[in-house]
Amino acid sequence: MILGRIEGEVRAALRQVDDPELGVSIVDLGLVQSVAIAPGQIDIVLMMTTPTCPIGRLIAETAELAVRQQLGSPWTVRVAVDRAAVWTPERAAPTVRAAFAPRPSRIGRRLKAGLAQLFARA
Amino acid sequence: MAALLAAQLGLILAAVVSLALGVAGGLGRLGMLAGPVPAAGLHGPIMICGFFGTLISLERAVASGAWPALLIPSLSATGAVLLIAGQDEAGAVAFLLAALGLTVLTAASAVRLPAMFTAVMTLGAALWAWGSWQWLAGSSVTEVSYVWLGFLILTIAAERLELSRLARPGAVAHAVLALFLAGFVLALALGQPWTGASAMLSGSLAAIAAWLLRYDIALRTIRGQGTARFAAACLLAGYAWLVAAACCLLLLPPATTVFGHDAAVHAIGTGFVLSMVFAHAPVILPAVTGAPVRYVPALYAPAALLQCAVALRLAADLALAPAWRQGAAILTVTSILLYAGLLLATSFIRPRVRNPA
Repeated sequence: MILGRIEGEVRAALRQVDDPELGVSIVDLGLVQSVAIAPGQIDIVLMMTTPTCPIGRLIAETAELAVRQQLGSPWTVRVAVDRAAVWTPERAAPTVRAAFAPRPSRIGRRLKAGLAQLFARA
Repeated sequence: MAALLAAQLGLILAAVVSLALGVAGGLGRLGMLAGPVPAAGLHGPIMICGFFGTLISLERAVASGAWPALLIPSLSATGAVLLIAGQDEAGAVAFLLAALGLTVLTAASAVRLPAMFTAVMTLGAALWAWGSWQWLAGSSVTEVSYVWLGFLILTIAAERLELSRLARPGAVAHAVLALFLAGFVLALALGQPWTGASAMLSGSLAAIAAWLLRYDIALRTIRGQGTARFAAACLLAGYAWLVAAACCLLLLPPATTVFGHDAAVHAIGTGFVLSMVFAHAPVILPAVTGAPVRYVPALYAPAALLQCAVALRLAADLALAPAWRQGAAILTVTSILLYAGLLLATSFIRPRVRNPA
């Protein structure tokens, strides 16, 4: 139960850390691969949306700072980035996927409607 | 680790020196500086290869996690130094080696992660190598400028493609983009716009801009806040300039109009590419160098000034008004200095919680 509370606090802290390009928290993007809690130590593993992301270290440092500030001493916090992990949009929260889903263009809709009328059966 | 960060910071400073000298070269070409300006005639190579080439190579090298990849931006920075020192051929060789190195690096990423965006990034790097080879082989800077600009356009397109995965463009959308990119590269291979024809180059450029605009997450993040919103604003402005460049290529063909070339290259180089640099610097600089700079709302001011500068430049070219071009150059330099000054100031004023957004 205590571990669950601590993990909750860790994830709450990580929820404050945004991917700066997307303005979405790394938790909602599905970038938090694992959170391991041992006596006095928290190990977090993150992934990036691409293995070639140049800001992985920056996000990891920000995440470490956020968790430290949330939990305070005497916790030791380590955040690593798994460069081999492959992210897919399906890892993101449904609300994030819905927010970024493509919206049909009005022009496309009108073109389709027009074509449907042209080729409609009498 | 500290040594690596120091090396990366050194490369950023080298890129900034290239920017300063490239801008000075541009001012010299407009007759705005007293006395001779070193390498004034090489404003294009210093800006594209020395400044932008070093920045892009450095970002890719850091992303690769392999420190030997830092040789690539070191080569492009060295190329700029050689040009300033009057060693044009040696500088061109250095740029070609940097471009080939970047092509290999991005191709390796594409092999590790086969995806549309890694392929486009590799194609962009290959354009840098192609343009650099042509220049070394005797083509003029003017003749290779659109190939080099293609390197910048495709590199940015690849980065936006990577982020657009959340928008999940389907296979058909990707196929359409591939067609537009093929048209763009074919137009360059046919020698456009210098053959007198520019319709394919213009059309494919406009199509690429329209595709990116349709699927770019910037259309969502513009409604957000902080860094993401600022980046989106700069990006959307940049796309507008890319479309403007396409219009200039069609309506003011560089081969036959007086200022058509100036309008197109500055709409792309200053309007599109420099807007992207403004958009991403608050995130990339700390990531690559550890510099404690960050986004602040005041950055909208130099970003807006930059857009005014580009608008004035294009107006000057349309109206054949050299005095306006000088005004545009002053605005551009002011926007760059203001942006750099504000970023530097943020390193002295720290928030309580450091968050990239």
